[in-house]
Amino acid sequence: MTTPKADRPATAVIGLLLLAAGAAVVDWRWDLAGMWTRLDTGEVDAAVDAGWFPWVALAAAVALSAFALWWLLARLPRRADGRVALASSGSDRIDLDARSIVPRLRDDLERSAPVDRVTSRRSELRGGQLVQLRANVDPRADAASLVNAAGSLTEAVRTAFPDGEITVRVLVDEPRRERARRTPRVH
Amino acid sequence: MKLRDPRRRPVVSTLAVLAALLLIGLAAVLAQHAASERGWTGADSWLRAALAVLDDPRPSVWVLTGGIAAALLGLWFLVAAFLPARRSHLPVDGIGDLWVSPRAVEALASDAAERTPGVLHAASEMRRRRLKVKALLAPEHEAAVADILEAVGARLHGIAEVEIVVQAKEANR
Repeated sequence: MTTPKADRPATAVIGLLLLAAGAAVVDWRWDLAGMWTRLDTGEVDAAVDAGWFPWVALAAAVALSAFALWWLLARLPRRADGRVALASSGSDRIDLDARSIVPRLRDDLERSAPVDRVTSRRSELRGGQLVQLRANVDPRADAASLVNAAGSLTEAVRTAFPDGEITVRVLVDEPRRERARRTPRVH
Repeated sequence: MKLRDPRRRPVVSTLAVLAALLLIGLAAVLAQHAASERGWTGADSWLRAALAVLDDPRPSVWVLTGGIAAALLGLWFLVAAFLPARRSHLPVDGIGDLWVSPRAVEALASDAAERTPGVLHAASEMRRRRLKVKALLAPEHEAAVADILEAVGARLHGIAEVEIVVQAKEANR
């Protein structure tokens, strides 16, 4: 899931409106600021009775539901385009599909580092792609083997793509639960 | 180019779904009012029923409960809107772009401690930059504490610059 940019401002505005509505009800009950006693419901009723009000309400309903639906759908993950343009010479141009090298990077990490169940995620980065590999560590692992494996993977990618078209990042998570372990652990 | 640190999903991202559903609810009330006033449906307008309540001198228990709930929810939304997303992994120095989660560091530390002679069981807990290793020692193995410190330090050397604290308890005979 992605986090749309509208999340923070829109949630803050809705939060303020809810807080104001709640404060008005509290003032109505305990008469703290005397706001409610000055409220003239006659004007509100007159506005609601006006002929234009149902149309305005309908337009507001359409606008609000369109915004809410867009807001909900904006967080669905989108597939990043895998194509990366490699440095070209003259009229020739080579596009690489980053999707083709991701399984290889996953295998390399699983083979060289004390980790299992490597998953990957691609995202677009200015002028290239970031491949994020995520794996569960083997609890018997030592730090040096993790650092070396990540270092050699980064080095290999950097050698293959010196202009930074593909960048790799390794995230190491806690081991999988004992129950899910494929081979029994022997002490 | 500087890449963004790996982060957890911010709290506001979950609350935004709730906020969007609230907006859809408000839109439904407005649409029902329009449909009722134009005669597209035989039902009475919900909005008019809600506005009629405003003429009461004091709010009913239900309105008061709803108002207080709305205020609390609004406060939660407002606070969450400004809470930053927390970093999910710790950076590791080296040529590779490697990040390790605190839970992974705990697992490595617990395993290193459990493999120290005289340790029956070990569990670790990481808070910020402090790693607490709780160990259950076999009887007459008090000296294992220094070994645990050394083993955990050696295992984590190079991935996590943390302060290691060992809390040991001797098992009953």
